[in-house]
Amino acid sequence: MIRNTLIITLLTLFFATLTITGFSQDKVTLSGYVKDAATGEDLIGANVFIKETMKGTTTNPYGFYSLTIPKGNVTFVVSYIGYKDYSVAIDLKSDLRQNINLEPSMITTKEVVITGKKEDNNTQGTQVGTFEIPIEKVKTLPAFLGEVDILKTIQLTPGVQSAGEGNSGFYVRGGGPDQNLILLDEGVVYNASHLFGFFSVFNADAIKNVELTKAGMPANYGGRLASVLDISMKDGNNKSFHGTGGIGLISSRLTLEGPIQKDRSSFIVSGRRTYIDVLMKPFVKETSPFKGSGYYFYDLNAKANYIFSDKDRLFVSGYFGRDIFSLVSGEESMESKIQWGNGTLSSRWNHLFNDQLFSNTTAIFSDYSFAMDATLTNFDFKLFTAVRDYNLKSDFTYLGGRHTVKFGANYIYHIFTPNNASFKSGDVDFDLSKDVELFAHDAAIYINDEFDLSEKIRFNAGVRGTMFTQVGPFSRFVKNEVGQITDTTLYGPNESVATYTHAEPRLSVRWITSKTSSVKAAYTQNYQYIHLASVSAVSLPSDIWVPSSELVEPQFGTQYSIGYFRNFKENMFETSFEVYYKDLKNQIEFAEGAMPEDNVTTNADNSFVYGNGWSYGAELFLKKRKGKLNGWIGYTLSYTKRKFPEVNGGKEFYAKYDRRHDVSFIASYDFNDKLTVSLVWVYATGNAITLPISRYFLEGNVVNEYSDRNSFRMPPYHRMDFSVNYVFEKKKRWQHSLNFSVYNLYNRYNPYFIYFETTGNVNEMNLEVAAKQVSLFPILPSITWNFNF
Amino acid sequence: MLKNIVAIALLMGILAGCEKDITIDLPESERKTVIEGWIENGDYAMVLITRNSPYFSKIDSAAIIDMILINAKVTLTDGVQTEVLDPPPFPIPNNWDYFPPYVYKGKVIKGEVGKTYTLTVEADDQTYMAVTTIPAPVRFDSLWIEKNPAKGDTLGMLWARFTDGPDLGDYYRIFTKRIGNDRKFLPIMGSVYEDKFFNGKTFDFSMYRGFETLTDESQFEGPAAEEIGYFKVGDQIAVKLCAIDRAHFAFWRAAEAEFFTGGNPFATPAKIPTNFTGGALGYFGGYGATIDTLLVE
Repeated sequence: MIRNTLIITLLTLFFATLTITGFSQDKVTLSGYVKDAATGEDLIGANVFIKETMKGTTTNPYGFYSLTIPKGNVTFVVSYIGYKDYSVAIDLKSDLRQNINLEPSMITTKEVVITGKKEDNNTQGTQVGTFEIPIEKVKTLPAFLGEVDILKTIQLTPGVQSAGEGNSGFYVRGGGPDQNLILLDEGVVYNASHLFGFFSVFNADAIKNVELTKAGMPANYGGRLASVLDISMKDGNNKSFHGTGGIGLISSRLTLEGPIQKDRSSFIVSGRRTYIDVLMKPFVKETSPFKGSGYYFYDLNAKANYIFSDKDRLFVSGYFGRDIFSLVSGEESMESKIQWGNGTLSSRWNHLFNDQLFSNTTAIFSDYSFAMDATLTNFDFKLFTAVRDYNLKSDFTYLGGRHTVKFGANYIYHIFTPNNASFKSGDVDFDLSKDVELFAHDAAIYINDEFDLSEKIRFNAGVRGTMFTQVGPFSRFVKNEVGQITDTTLYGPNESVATYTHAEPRLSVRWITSKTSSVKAAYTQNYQYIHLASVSAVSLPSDIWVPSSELVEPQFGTQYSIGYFRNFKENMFETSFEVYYKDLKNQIEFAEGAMPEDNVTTNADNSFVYGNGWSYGAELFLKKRKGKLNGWIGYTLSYTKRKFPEVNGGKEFYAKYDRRHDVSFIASYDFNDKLTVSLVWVYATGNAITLPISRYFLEGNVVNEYSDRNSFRMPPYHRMDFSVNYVFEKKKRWQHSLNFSVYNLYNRYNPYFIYFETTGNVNEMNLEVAAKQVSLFPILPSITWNFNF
Repeated sequence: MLKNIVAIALLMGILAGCEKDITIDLPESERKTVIEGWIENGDYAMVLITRNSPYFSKIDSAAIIDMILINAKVTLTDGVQTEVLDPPPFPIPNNWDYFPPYVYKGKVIKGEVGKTYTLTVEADDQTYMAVTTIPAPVRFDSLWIEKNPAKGDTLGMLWARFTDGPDLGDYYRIFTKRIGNDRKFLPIMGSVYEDKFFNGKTFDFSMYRGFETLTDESQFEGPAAEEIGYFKVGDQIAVKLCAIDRAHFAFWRAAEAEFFTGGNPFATPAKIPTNFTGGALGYFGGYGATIDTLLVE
């Protein structure tokens, strides 16, 4: 029933929009690609407009634009930050294909007033909560231990929070870290961090564009409740061969790119590896019991593309990264190796049906796995957890005059390995694994139309129909009240375990209130069919992904968001004020007191409890876009709560990443083309934690009794970072730059965790407890040398 | 596995970190009654009753006396016989085996395999009740010591071969006692097991000698630290293997996790499941015990 209604709605919406736009006879279409003249890279989000009417659009993720306008003499302008404007007078008589190559400008041109006034995307677009991050900007900001980090920069924007140092994931408007859809060239990245969150997996040298959507998610995205972080890799220079690289304190990077066939095809290969382990080696004594222990991570990005014609292009891109940790202890005859990481492979085919209909068909493979192998004397323990997706996607964009219609379909086959453990003592195998692999079909169709209702009002309306089925082979273990398996329900291959079908309406509206201001509102509904279950209080690489099943219902999120956007001084300043309310249903957690071993002989979801969450807040943003001094200030006030009948005695509690106040301040000063100085300051209310409030004794040992869940706060977190970026004169084809960063400039001891130290001996009838706060990083300077040729 | 990761994370924290004392204001906690009660086959029941204390309160002899609940009425029944357990003589003896040194002890009902016992504690106008059973005891197939070459030839680890019964749902707790050295049987490190991982199997495993109390720091320092977990040449060891019921197992599994990770910022604080009704903390557990001895040579 729901499905039929949905299909009818979709079709009606689609044909309605086609008829509205199709009839106009005196209109012509101007379309083409916008590229960087020096490298041939597609430019994403470049402004394309007609100067006389100020009507225009922006290029799509493949650099394509299409404008349908009345015939006649027009001045056609293309502008993009960091590039010289392109402007041409055209007498438009019929449809025209116009590919534009933009010349890069020197950094200082940023302060030159750009001819067009089409710099007011923040007030004119329908996007409510989107944020684009220019990669070149990210590279000049202070870098922790010299590692440029996109995720850290994302966390400096309002509504996005880090959970503190050493905690993977980011939190958007009260959503969990598993509720962010992180896409690298459309491939899903399940765990975006290295070393428990200290570094992100994205190597900035290989990245072209980063866009975060935290509200008003358009219907072409789905599957997650909180946000979409859409990251595009560079295509590679198709004019000439170049390299970029850098040597930092803990890692080195090298990127090579160039044409395979000039102007037709190009490649890019990028690698990064840390060498803490290599640097440490000489300092570890031959006799050290931990000799042979070490940690490193590496990333590899590779991409190639081929332009068949103006109508057809092919892209193949991949990412592979691993964290490798080995621990050897001679004394305990222990050897342990832990490895985790992501891999993605995307093949994309762009096809232009005509000047107004753009399509992209993608086949994606993505994989996240965690593997551990430990031996201790004659014990051997292995653990493997993974999620693997095979993803097929077809997306169409119809660029009519007043309408931009996106529609498409998506199918994903998921294979989850929540826990695959084996334990051996000598030759005896212990029974650990019960669900080896879980399978699911995940399908979606969508249609989304962005259209002008009037000069002032623009709608972005869409609906996404989703279907999710967990299928066999699967065994459901039914436990009795004492936890023994009393019954097993078997499902055959491809037999449905549970099926969910839902419609997800999305709507955002922009209402222009004056030349420089607008009001935007958004309403979104999302379903999320996969869940991340975390046994401990922090996110670990071993956290497991599980599908919705007959026990675990899909997560359901509804968000209401409204904002006022205003620009000042000819768009030199951008400001916005947004408020939101978000409602989350069917959130999961492991039951209180669940132990990691609980889910090894049964279905992982047998140990879950279910509850709801909600969050609300306000975000204030002020950005200075241009001038020698530029940067932004963001402030977020938010409340995030959870309520689970079986957690905390059924009482509501603050989520651990509930953050009352969150401030980010970023300022850069460009002295000239060569020298940039940046300062970052962040302030955040302390994380919500649970503390012991009383204690008692059992068999002579101290046992803690805890407060209500998350009823205490850590001390607030604040930190200032500073960086100097200097670009040396270009010599022949080599250019060098140095980035000098200082992390935690005023050496703030930020709380990483609090623990309690007990001294004394109960048998001697004396015992004292003291609270200690541990901080991770003191003031840390670092220097990175970068080069390109 | 998780513990390893936590250990690594902690290690990183300790290596890179800076530490300072902080003051935390905690609200006054509700005073609760804590009952530790057990009954073993062939032995009388023993019960310790205390109260919890505010988290940062200093523990000295006065505080300990304040913690002990001396006016409780403790009743044990096996369904046929009923007895009221005797409070200890006052003042507290100097050479005591249990902490706190105030034990309510039975003198009529001796634990019998297969029987169910109910303990009722009346204190401060409250009544708390718990039920336990003594499951059928089992024996190790064999016990031996394996020397660790890295520790020289004087220290060894205790090993056992064990065959689990054919039915699922067996729970065990293991204790050791160095005769003439330990005051009482001490649970090994990680003392409880359930057979869901090894139902019906025969296998070998090693055991770490347990602590009398984890609060005694001297045992983690100097030469004593070298001996943690090990037995020494010359030790005469008694090994007690107890069959326990599920509630008793669930209690110790959670309690031991709390001993080792208590206050660990990476662990999710958990409530320890008690089998007492009425709001008391603690447990009343039955032990179906067998004891073997061996000499470390």
